[in-house]
Formats: sequence, C-alpha cells, structure tokens
Amino acid sequence: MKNYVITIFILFILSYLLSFSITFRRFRKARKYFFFAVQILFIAAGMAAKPFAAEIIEGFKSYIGISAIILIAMISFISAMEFRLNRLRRLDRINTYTAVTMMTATALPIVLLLIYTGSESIFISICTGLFLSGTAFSYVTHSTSMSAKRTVYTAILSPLLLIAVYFIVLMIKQIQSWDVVLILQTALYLTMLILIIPVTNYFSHIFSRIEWTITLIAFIFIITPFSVHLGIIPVLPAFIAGLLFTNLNPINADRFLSLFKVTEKPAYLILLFTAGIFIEPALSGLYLALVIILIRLLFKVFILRTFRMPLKNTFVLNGLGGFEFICLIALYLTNGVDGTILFSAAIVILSGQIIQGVYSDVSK
Amino acid sequence: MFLSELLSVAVCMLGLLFLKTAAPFHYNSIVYLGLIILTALFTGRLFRRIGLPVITGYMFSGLLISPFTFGMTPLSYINDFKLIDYFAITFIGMQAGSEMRMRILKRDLKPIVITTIFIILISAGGVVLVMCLLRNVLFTDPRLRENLIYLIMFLAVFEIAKSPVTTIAIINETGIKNKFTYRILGITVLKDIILVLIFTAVTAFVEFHAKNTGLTLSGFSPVLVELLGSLILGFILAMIFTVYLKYISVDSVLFISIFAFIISVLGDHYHINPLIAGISAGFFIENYSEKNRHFEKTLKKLSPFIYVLFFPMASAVLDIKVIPKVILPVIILLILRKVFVFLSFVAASRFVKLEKYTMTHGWMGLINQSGITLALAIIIANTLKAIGMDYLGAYLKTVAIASIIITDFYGPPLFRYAVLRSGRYFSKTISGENDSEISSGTE
Repeated sequence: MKNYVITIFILFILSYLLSFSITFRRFRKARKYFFFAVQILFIAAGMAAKPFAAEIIEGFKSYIGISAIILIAMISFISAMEFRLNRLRRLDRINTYTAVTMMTATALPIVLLLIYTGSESIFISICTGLFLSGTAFSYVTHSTSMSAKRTVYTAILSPLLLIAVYFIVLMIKQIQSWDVVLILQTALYLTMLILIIPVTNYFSHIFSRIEWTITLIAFIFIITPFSVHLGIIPVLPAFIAGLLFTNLNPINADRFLSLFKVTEKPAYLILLFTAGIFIEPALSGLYLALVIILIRLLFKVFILRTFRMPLKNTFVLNGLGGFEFICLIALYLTNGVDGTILFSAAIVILSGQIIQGVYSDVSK
Repeated sequence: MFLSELLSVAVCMLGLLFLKTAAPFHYNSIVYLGLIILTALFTGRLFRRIGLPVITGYMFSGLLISPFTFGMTPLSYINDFKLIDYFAITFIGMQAGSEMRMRILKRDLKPIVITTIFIILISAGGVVLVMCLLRNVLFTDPRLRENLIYLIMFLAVFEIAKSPVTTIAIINETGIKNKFTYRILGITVLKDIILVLIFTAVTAFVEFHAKNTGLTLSGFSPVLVELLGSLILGFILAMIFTVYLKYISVDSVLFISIFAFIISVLGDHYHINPLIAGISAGFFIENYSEKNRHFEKTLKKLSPFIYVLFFPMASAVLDIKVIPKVILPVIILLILRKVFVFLSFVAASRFVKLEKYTMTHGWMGLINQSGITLALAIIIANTLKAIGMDYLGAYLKTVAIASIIITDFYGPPLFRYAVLRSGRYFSKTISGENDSEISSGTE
C-alpha cells in the first residue's frame, strides 16, 4: 500500500513539473491540452507499473481496489451535486426525444459490437455500451454558450438517463438470477440511502462546513463497501446520494461543492493510474476503440444532422468525460471486465476529449 | 443537541458492534473506518459542548473503539489505518514550525532556552531523587530492583517527554496566539530536540553498561546525523515548496500532503526524524518564504481531516487495562511532573524576565505526553529486550502507556483553560507583533 501511495505522489509531482513548463509563454497555447497530457501520463504510468504490481492485480481486493472504489464513489457524488433537477423543467419533448434517441442509437451498436467480439456477459456488454454512449456533461455545460441551450440540456440529460437505464438493467439482472435475498438487500440498501440523505441534510445546518465534509466522506466510506458486496457499482448509490443532497438543500450544497471540487481532479487522476494497472493494451482493443469512435461520430453527429434535430454544435456532444470513465473502471473492479475493453474505453474517452476540445469554441 | 450528539455516538458504536458480530464481507475494514470517523467527530462535538477540547474527545473516542477496551475494532485494522501517521506527524511538525516566527523568537529565545534547561534539569533530577527515596515503596518486585538505576534513568527521561502535537492542536482550536502560547510551544519544541539527544545518551549508557563495554562518543554520531539530516531535509523541502507555490500554485493541499508523506517515508528508510524535518520545513517557509500565508492557510484547511483520523488512532492502540497495574508510580510521577515544572518556571524567572502568568500557568501546557512517550517506550522495550531485560522493558512500556492515557485526558483541557485565560493577560495577536501585556501580567 505504501509503494502504491508513493508512486501516485511521484506522478503528481511529475504532473506539477509539466504544469510548470506551461507557465512559459511559448507553451501557453498548449495549456488547453495540458489536462489531456496529464491523463495520459497517469494511465501510462499505471501501465508501466503493471510488472511491479503483481500483488495489486491479484489482490485487487486489497486496499488499492477499495481505495479506487471509494474515489469512484466520491467523484460520482461530486458529479451528481452539479445536477439541479429544476433545470429539467426547461426540457421540452424535443430535448428528451433527442437525448433518448442519441443514447439508444449510440449504445445499441456498441453493445452488439461487444457481444459480437466475444464478450461473455451480456450484462457487462450492455453496461459498457451504455457508458460509452454518454456525453461529458460538465464540459459541455461549462464550455458551450447558453445560446445553444438545447445542446446543454441534452448533455445534462445524458448521464441521468445513463444512470436510470443502468439501474433498470441491474434490477433485471438480479430478478433474472432469482436471488431474492440479493434483491431484498439491494432494495433495502437503496431505501435506506434515500431516507438517510434527507435526515442528514436536516442536520447540515448545525455542522460547520468542514465537519459536514468529514461526515459526508465518512458516509461514503460506509456505503461504498456495501455497494460492492451487493454487486452494485458504487457510482449508483453515490450518484443518488449526491442528487438528493444537492436538490434538497441547494444553498448548503453550493457551500460544500466548492470544498469537494478540490478533491475531484486528484481523485480522478489516481483512478486513472489504478485503471492503467488493469489495462491490457492490444491491437484488437485499438481496432475496437476506432470502431466505437466511428459509431459515436456517426450516430451522434451525422444522424442528428441528417434528421435535422435542432441542436447546435453537436460535435461537442461527442466527448466522453471522467464520469463515464469512472463508471467503466467501477464496472471493471466489481464485475471483472476484460482489460482490453478498458484499454479501448480509454482511447475512446481521450479521443473524445480531443474532438470536444477542438470544436468547443464553435458555439461561443 | 447534546442528546442528539450522544445518540449519534451510541448509533455509531452500535454500528461497530453490528459489524463485529456480523459475518465479515469484503472491505468491511473501510466501513469500520467510516464509523470510527463519525464516532470521533460526534464525540469531539460532545466534548466541545461540555467545555473540553475537541481533541480530547477524539482521543476518548479512540479508547471507546479500541480493540483493548471493548474490542470494538480488530487490532489488524487499527494497524492498517496507521498509514495516517505518515502524514500526521510531519504535518503537525510543519504546523509547529510555522508558528515559530523569527521576530518573536529573537525576543524570546533566551527565556525559552533558559526555562527549557531548568525544566529538564529540575524534572529529571527531581524524579531521580524522589524515586531513589521511594524505591522501597514503589519497586518491590526483585526483577525491577536488580536494575533499579536503569529504571529510574528511563523514568527521568519520560518525565521530560512532551509532545508538541496536542500543543499545536489546542492553539489552533482556540485560535489564540500570544506570548504565552509562543513560549509554551517554543519550550515544547526545544525540549523535544534535547530529549532526542538525552534519550540516545541514556539508552547508549544502559546498553554499554549492561554489556560492560566502554561508552564512546561515536555512539552519539548516528543521532547527531539524524538531527542534522532532518533539519537539512526540512530546509530543502521548504525551498521546493516555495518554488512550487510561486510558479505553479495549484492543488497546494495535495502538494503539502505529498510533502508530508515523502518526509515520513524518508524517515523510515534513512533515519530522518519526520517531526523535526516537518518543524524545520515549517520554520523556513514561515520565516524565509514570501508564500508563508498561503502555506499557513493550506495547513489550516488540512488540519481538521488529519486530527479526526490521527488522534483516535493514536489512542486506539493504548490498553486501558494496564493502568491498575502501575497506578501508584504513575500518580506519583504525574504529581512530580507538575510540581517540578512549576518550580522550574519559578527558578527560571530568577534569571530571565518571565511574566507572572507564564510563571504560574506555564506548567499547564507541559503535561500531556502523547505519542512521543509511547514511541520512546517502544524503543526502550525493544532495546532492553535485546540485552535480556524483558521485564524491565515491559514495565516501562506499561508505565508510559498508563501515563499517556491519564495525561491525555486532563492535559489538553488544562492547557486550553490556560490559553483561553491568557487572552485576558496578553493582547491576542495573529501576526505575533505588538505582543504586549494588557496589564503587567499580575492578577
């Protein structure tokens, strides 16, 4: 565990040295792609650490695995805190129809492709396809001008749909296995979560900001292992908790969000390193990634344009963000997705960021 | 609200009990960690509500969840969570170092040094004298009597030990920084440095004497190298941090954590003292870096998270059941500690100008021993075991633990009381300048 932490810290120091270089004027233009370079650094470092990390790979059920899962839960919680459901009141049928169509049209071919390439589990294929059909909502909302409102709302709806569909798929899987105990446990667990959040939210006004942050972190430590025990990827309960927390008490949520946001980027980078350890680079993975990129480009961009959906700057919707990647990492850690698929996903996500970055200014 | 906090602590304890009795599942150690954090947080709030320091609450929660008290948490998990020690010790050292401002130290160096010397001489000498006089009452076991001189020497070393950890925590909690707090902190830090030298000398003497070999000066060189190395490492890291803050200045919270962790890991491998390295780093940044305010703010942001993890874990390894076995010598040592420290302040005031308040209340800041005494006790126990004095080593460790447990509970509240009261006698300053007494320090 100590060696793992040391390696992570060395990587952070390297990334800081990298950022030091872009303070020089001649490299200022590269600033836009700095975070992209840092992500590659961490994933590559994880892949390079693989020969020395045999114990980590075999015993992912050690603290490395659970620390990754906790980070996943934290990022999901923070991501969910950005969703104010009152924005959805501005959605019209066209937005909803567009978002659902886009997701289905993108996910379905990817799922079929994964099944065709020999994925053993239909459940894993469906979940992978679902996550790879997403859209980096936070990037869209922050970088797209509000005049492209339809694009923004479609982006907001994307991860919500993703989580909802994942939840349905999970329930179907549990019902299919006729594991009554598991279904009851899951239902009880999610019910408790839905009840606990309003109760703790009630007490939030008597805690200081720091105390409440510590309390939320402790809750994440408590709920995450139960998720893994029940076979639920930790994204789901943390996302539900974050969604409830931010919408029940938006003023308080804003106070805590700024404190939480400080941890989001370092947590995400540490996860990339952990993912890098489990990634298995292969040519088949590269081909799979290229096909998935083409599917996303085709269905998201061209079909929307062909059917004249009133969306501006649809290339922006082609990006995949950290949220989708962490969903995939979580899926891997809890259900054992093939490392090659994780490799493909990393390529899809990083290339999506490049495409998104290049075209993000069009609508401004 | 008191009831709701008490109820919250009870619910957390029930949760721990449920985990203990239920079938273990993967990662239930992390659930334990979450419940321990919540227990500590609510216990801290409870203690604050009744006027006691929050860290005393954290330490009490550590005893509650300890595997030795009610067996709530498995010992293996507590040992696993000790990774936080790597951050905490160095981090707290950095906080202590950042409190030492040169412009105040220049004024106060002589009183701090003189008072520290008096405390060491009077406390150690006094303990040796009293223990020799009471040896027939306190140490009746023949296994202790046959190595009595070693026993008394080590007890004298324990008498000097004082951890700056709780001192810093109380000063931060109260937010009061005046001449009194600077003096106490300065004395604590200086004592810590001198203690390392004295401890090495005593251990070397015992080892050589027991083995009938000659004591040479070369026995001291490792510890001098360690001290010097720690100071230099702290200076190097202070430079790195200043450059980082000047040119990059992002994720400073994470960077400080990296800082603290690297020092601790180097401490493991290269015999660097992480506490002294942290103090050195904090000192140089505070006094010679233009980014000292940023550094201080970052430390302040991190401290609640560090304290809520560190103090419960530090207490959780203490076995409360040892106290009855050594209660008499521990009570006598604790009484002597107060008396001798008080006398030391009085004696020092004859040679340097000490305010009356510091003279009468300074002893309250030098009670708590905490982690440093435990670390010394473990080293002593291992050293004595290596030279065939297992029983003596075990006895000293028991005395140390009992002493720590008792002082952990009244030491911080007493110091907090003294700090809060000092606000009436010294003008409260944040910068440390214009630190003049409101009155002459007389009541």
